[in-house]
Amino acid sequence: MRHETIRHLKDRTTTALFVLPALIIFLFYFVYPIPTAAFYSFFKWDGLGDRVFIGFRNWGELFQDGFFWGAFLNNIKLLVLAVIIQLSIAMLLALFITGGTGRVRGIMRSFFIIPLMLSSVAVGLLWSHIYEFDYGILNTLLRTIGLEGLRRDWLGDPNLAIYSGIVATAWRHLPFFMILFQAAIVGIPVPLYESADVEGASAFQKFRYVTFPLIMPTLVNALILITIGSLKYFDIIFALTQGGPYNSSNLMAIYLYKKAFGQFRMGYGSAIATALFLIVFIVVVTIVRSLRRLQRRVAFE
Amino acid sequence: MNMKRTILAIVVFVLVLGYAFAGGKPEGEEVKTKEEVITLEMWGIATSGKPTASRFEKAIELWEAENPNIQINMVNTTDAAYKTKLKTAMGAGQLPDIIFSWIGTASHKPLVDAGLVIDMRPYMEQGGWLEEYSPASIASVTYDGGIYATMTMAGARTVANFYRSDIFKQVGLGEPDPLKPPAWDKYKSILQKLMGSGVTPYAFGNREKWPGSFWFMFFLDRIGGADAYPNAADADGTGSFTDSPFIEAGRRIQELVKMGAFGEGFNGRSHEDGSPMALLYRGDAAMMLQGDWIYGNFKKQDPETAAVTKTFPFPVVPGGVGNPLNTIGAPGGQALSVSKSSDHIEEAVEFLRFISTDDRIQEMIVKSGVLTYWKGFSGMIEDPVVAKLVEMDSQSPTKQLWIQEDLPAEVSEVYLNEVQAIFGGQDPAAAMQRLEDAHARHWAWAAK
Repeated sequence: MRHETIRHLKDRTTTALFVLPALIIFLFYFVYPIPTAAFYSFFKWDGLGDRVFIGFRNWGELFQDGFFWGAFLNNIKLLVLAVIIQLSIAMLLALFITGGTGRVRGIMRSFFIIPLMLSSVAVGLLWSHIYEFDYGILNTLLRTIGLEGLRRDWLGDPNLAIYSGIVATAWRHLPFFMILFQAAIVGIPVPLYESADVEGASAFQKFRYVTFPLIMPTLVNALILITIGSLKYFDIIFALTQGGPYNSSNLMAIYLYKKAFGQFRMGYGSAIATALFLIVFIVVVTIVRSLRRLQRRVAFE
Repeated sequence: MNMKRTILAIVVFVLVLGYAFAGGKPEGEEVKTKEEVITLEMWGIATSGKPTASRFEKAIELWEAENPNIQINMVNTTDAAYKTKLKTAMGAGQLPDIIFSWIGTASHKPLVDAGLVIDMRPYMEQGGWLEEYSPASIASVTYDGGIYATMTMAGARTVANFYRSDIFKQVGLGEPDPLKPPAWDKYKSILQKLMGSGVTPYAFGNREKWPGSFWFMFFLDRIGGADAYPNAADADGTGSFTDSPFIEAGRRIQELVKMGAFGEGFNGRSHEDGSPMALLYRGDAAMMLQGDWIYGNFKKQDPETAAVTKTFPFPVVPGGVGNPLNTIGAPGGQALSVSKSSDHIEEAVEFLRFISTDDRIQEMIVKSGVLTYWKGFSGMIEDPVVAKLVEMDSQSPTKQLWIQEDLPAEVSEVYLNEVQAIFGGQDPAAAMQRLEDAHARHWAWAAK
């Protein structure tokens, strides 16, 4: 063989060897569990004893399971509200902390990031105390400023519980998108803004015609991340309500946890897990496809 | 360069060695050939911090002082982890010499049914061991005439109305009889008097759902009698959860909710993080329907409240067939059984006899303020509140065991959810129908 080919092969091999450990871990911990879960979903299994093959019985039960579809609806609520609340506030904050120097803005940024530094359980505890009915911060505040009638059982009212959880979740996660957007905005060349100024553009117009289109790829990524995150979300809602009261704030992942580890129905839990994966997969693919079409249109402008 | 590398290699080697030797097994079974020391392995849930932990320690100390050739190795796990541990061990058929289980059909009975533990009746009928216990407590671990566990170290559990006598005095209420269940109308007038003076009758947190279950169990027992639950819950039972006592119990709960007996926000209020206790300590609420252990909490957290705390039993419900003296709770004691496959059955039984009957140990347990099922100890109880609770409990013909512990996990969750839903205002008939459906589904499922 010629020298170049040998070296080419050597490079390839070296690359492969370096990638191999990570690839193995990835395949074993991330890829393998998915078909395995699908496999387990056809069995009745309590996690300890024998596995009994039962075909599609778990799946039949799942399709008719009101709690599961209720949880699915909650995930959708979480998704829609997360997109609206988190992305818009994150965008506003990102615009605020970019541009202009000023130590104040730097301090503001460090301040806004704090929620991101807390663990989910800590956030759950924190917001439990805010939402607590008798002496919690929110109700006490309402009472002090004379709005006693607005006091609610934020975590105990089945109509409110999921929304209380969504707010706490938004609080925790939006700094992440703020950083993401800020990084994207900073990448926009300043001359573009200068030429906009020359044409007498208002702040809003500058946003709409310069900033927004140029950070579109980042927005798309944010949308995908928030979609996947919302559909498989577990942490803070579980810490706050454990899915209650009576399953009103259930999420698919919480329901999965309760079935598999609380009631020792591993087969059914696996069915939920597989369904969850399929749902996320379908939703993400749909979003990416439609956004790609949108992106092409915007790029032409 | 070489020097650096060598040092690095040595450091890594030492670290790896350290890893290899870390986490070694503590104790374990050592049979010293010199004196033939036997070690009995015992499993429990007396993790450090629980009152039972120090009791077991003391008891084992006393035993080993008198029996140096029989050592006891007790391995404790947290409650939730223990359930899994027990299940796994049962599946593998590998039990320790002495094993703990929760009294009742969910935990202890499966051990008996699987033939894994010995019948201790022949041993207990000798030497006055059996006579130490009250009949009701022995009945709870007897199956087909065989006694499959001893009970010790922890008290019985009972539930009563704990109230602040100072608040009662303030609003002009007399003190209810601690042993006689009040009539329903008298009970409601107590609630109304409290509410009229701006006090929430009950400090109630039902986030975790089991506090609400106490109300349901009591109403069910008062209305339907002691057979109501077993009839519905047994797989081949004749009853159903949709029978009228269950629905009636739900309606009574809603009657109290509508009256305002529990205040507001109770379904979201967490009992386990102490919120209702705070209401009670501040005097915003006057009563709590809780287990006997709550008194210990009061003493630790707010001695002023504990000093004025008194108890009275759950009221009588008009039209109910249940004996008004019935209680709910647990028969008490850690159920300790001896494994059939143990190599040292005689020694294990002797140890259990010791910790169940030795005077010093019994005195230690009774003095620590638990409800006891041993006869003849009520004189020894110093605290008058506990003494009254013990008296109330000992006059009870039957005790309804915790329903949420007795039902299989999946059905138990539905039960708790539905009771909470009833507190939240949902139709009791529909709620009980859902419970019955889940129950039926579980047994159809388990049968396959």
